[in-house]
Amino acid sequence: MTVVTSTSNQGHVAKASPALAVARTGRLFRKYVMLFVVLIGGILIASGLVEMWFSYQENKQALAAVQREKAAAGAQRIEQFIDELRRQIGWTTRSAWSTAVIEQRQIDYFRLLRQAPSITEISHLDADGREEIKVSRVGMNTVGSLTDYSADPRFVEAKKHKVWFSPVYFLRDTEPYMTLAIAGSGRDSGVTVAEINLKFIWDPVTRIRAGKAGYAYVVDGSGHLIAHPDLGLVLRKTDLSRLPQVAGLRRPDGEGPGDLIGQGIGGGEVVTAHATIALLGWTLFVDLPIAEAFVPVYDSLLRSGLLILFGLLLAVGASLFLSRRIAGPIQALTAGAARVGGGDLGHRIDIRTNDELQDLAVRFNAMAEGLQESYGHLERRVEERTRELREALEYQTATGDVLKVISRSAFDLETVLTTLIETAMRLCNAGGAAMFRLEGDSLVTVVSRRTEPSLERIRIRRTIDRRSSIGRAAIDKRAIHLPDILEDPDVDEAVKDDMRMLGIRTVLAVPLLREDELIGVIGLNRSSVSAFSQREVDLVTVFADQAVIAMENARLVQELREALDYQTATGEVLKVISRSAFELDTVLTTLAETAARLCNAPAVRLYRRDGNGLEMAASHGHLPGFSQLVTRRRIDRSSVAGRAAAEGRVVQVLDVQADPEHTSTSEARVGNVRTVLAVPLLREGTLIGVISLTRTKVERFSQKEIDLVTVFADQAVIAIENARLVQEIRAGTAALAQSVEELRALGESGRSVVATLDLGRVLDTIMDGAVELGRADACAIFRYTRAVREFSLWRAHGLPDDYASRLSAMQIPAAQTVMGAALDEDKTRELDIEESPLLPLREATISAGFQHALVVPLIRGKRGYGAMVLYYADGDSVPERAHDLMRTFASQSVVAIQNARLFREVAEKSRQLEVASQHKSQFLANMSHELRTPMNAILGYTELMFDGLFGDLNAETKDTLERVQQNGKHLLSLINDVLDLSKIEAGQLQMTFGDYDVNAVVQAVMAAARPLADTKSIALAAEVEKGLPVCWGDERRLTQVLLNLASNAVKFTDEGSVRIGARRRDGAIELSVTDTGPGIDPADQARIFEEFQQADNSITREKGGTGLGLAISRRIVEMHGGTIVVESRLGHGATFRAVVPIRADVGEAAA
Amino acid sequence: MKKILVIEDTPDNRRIIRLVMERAGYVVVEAVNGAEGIEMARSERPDLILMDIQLPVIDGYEATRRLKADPELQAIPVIAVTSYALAGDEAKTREAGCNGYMAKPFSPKALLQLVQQFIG
Repeated sequence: MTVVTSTSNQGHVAKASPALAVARTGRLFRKYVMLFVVLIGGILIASGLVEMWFSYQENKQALAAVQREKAAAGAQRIEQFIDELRRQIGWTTRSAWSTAVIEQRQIDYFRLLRQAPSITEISHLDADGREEIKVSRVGMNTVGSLTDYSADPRFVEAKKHKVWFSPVYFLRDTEPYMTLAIAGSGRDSGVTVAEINLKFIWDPVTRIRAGKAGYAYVVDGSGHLIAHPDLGLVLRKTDLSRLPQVAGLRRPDGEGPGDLIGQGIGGGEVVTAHATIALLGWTLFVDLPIAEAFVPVYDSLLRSGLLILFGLLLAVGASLFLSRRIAGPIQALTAGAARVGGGDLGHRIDIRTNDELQDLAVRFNAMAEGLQESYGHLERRVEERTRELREALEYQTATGDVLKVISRSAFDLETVLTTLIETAMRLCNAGGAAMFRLEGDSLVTVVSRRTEPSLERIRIRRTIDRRSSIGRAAIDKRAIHLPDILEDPDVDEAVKDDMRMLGIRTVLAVPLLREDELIGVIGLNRSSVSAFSQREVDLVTVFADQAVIAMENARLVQELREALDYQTATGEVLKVISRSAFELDTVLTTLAETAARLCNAPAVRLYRRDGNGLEMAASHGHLPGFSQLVTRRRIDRSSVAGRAAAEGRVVQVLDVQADPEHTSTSEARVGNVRTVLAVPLLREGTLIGVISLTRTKVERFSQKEIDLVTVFADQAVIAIENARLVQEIRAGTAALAQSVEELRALGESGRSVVATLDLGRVLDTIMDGAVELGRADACAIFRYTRAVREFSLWRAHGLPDDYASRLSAMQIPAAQTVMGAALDEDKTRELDIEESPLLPLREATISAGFQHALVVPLIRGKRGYGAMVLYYADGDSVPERAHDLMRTFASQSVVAIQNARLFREVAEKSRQLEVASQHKSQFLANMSHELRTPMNAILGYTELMFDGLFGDLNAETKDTLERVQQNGKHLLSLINDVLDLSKIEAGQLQMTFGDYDVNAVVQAVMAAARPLADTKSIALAAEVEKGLPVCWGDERRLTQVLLNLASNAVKFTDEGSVRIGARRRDGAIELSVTDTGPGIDPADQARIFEEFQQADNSITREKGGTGLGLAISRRIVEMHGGTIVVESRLGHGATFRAVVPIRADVGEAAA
Repeated sequence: MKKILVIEDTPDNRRIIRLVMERAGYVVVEAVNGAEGIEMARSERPDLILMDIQLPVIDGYEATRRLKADPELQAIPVIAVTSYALAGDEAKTREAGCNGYMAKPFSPKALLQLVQQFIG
């Protein structure tokens, strides 16, 4: 499966990249080879390894078995050897030693030595361990040496165990020896000791060979080496107990070495086997170096290796062969796919494997074939499409070009149409093209293009009928296509002649329709019979639409231009109107001129209504022989202008010369007047004029022109109206300016009257104004003294000095003078001085240059104060309006005179008051002093008497004296209060303002009020808000106020409490005193702050007090700019609140 | 014993002062006008002077000024005892040179306390 998938994948990739496909195909081949090699090689290696392992194991077992046998044989030999010796020695001892003599024994020993070459020396120890005899092969034989061995192990151990084997020792460092001691049996109680040369047994043992390099060795019970082929090792008493096989022996379980592999004496691993010599506690080992032991194994390995190599080679060969068989076709497929993918669709794959691969190739070839077919089809389609696109693009470009031209030359219709025709001709490959415009019921050539330029000049006009192609297109309102016009039976022969002349065969006619309304036709033709394609027809239709748009645009632009012209003209006229509002002639002339220009009229006239006729007010254009003759028209039907005026509507006469009603026809003829338009000028329905336009040829004014002239007529009305208004305003303004001037002067004198109380100055100002506004040359004010009914000069202005001084010296009787009369009648009087014989100083007045005078009475209420006289010099007359104006001046003067007098009186009164006040103060001071002096005696004596200075007093006397003292004190406080009040009223109570602490004030009052409160057992408490600011006021006076309130409260309260409070309230300080006293009747609450008022007068007597305290308190609080109030109900106590600003308002206090 | 000179034109007031002061153990000498007062001050050399202000011949202000101008007498404390009890009156006596001020009507005890403040 994997192979198949991978192949298909490769096929797929191959299409994308043929180069890559080759590389991938190579890999496929490698993959197969690798697979085979790995499979076969793996099997071979596995079998070889298994075989080697078993062979190794078997080999090892076999070797071990051989070695074990050798070891067992060696061990047996040693054991036999020792056993033999022991037996031989034992045999010698079995003879009856008690009976045998030493010699005999010696002989036995010699024999033994002979029989047993391994015994080197033999001796006998007696029962006490002394040596009796010794026979030696190497040393001297001794008898009876009696060397003591009783403590020697050979004796002790032998006696204990019967037999004793000594450890192996070496004599002369060459030969191994062992001592064997055997205790005697039976009667012999001694021990036979033999020195045994182990060389005789060692040699055979050490000659045991295992393989080539194998060897045998013996270790004793302690693990020391006692026999080995290398004697040196033995002599060094090598300790082998560290070797694993020896250590295994010595393990307590005694099972011996479990492993066959041990360690060699000289290092390296060995195959080992052992046998135990139980008699001596020795062990015989046979070791074979492992290298040697496994030589057969290695041989086997080598064989296996060779076998594997061979197998591998075989596998490679086989896989190469197999891979070729499978990969070859696949590669062929891949390469084929790559070629097909690369575009070689004709490529076919040739695989003959007679299996699925071949099927695959066949199928692949079929697919490639299909692909080739559809590819060819596609190519054709693309070619077609490209061609279409190219054409469309061409048309688009052409259309775009046309549109560009349209937008660029919107105002140049001919260029646009020419471009359209040329483009249509070029794109449709036509021999000629033309555009026809509808004119009446015919179609006329507008633009014509032909390949032959000489033919372009031919203009065609065709009536709209079915005898021509363009006529038919116009009637049917659709494109008409005649592939051969000469063959068409419906076409008129004349048309055919034209066609022949122009060399036209195939024609296409497309109508130009604006909202389904025919405006023209486009025609295309070819000189040979060659039908236009549908696309070409469509294209021309598009061009026809564009031509319609272009024509429409051109029309709109034209209209817009005209409208703009009118607008501009109207605007200009308006500008002129607004700029020259006061120059009516300019405005009307401009209107006429503009109307003439815009309406293409050589002469324009503007008439204004004048009574029953029309008078020419402005004109533009000159008509010789007419203009100068006719300047006036009647309002009737005798002229066009008159007709428009009479009927109040627009009148147009197409030809005046042909109009029967027109009267001045001859003049019209002279001036060549033909068409005339007249528009009436109407202001709110009233005729004020006419505007008339004249043409010197018969040409009707269009509706647009009439509308325009109507607009101008309206503007003319506005202009005329404006001019009239301006005229009126001008007149009004002049009058207004006069009034304003008079008002200003009046205002000035009025101000000065109010501003100063200096009467002289007031009168001067008044006379100044009077002279100026009354247009007089001089002025004088005379004072009237009622008592004597005489006038005297008060003040003069502009009179010659000597005249004025003479006048002032006079007392003028009121009777029979003009001034007196004016005063009596309360009227101004004007007089001619020369004609007034009774006028005082008449001659002097005349000689001073005055001729007229205006006498104005000064009256206020019913009272006359005097008269003002305005003098006019010779030639001047008294202006009409001066009378009224001077009356106003006169009344102001009276006010000023009154004010001045009042002011003087007030000033005088104030001075008198001041003096009186000073006197009062002095009086008060004196009275205070004079009252206090006797008071001092009264109170002083009383106190001295109380103190017993004049002897003891009885109760009655004491009581009486107390009353004297009380009354004295009351009198004193009365004096103090009266003085205070007087001072306040005289404005003399001096306030000493400064910083003060509200808390200190409250505490001072508490201290002062406490004694009385304590006497009356009334609770007295104070509550002062924390953080009150430092205030500004008269601390002493405010303390006086609060103390007065607190004293009153204590005084009037018989039980309960009095609470003093101080807190901040709306930027002010509120000092309050609340008591639980009897309360104050609401009716009395308003009065108690007035002088000498208490709620009940009897209380004054009962409770003491002057009744002035609250009045004084109120005054003091008010002088701080504060207020004091009481809140109370009868039977529910009272609360007095004094509210003073944190900073005393001194301004208010001063007021 | 300390000596007090009383310059006072009203006999009753003179008597009241004398009664109080003598009971307190002072020696009291009297003058009835300013001129006599100055003379008495020179001859009697009192320890303290109680001076009325409104006096015949020379008033209390002038008398005090003269006493205070005299180097031998200027150390003697002068207490004004006067019916001029309006605002500013005390200041006037101080300007003239008085060392103390007692407005009439006075409490005899209070006057005694004031005197004792000066001469014990």
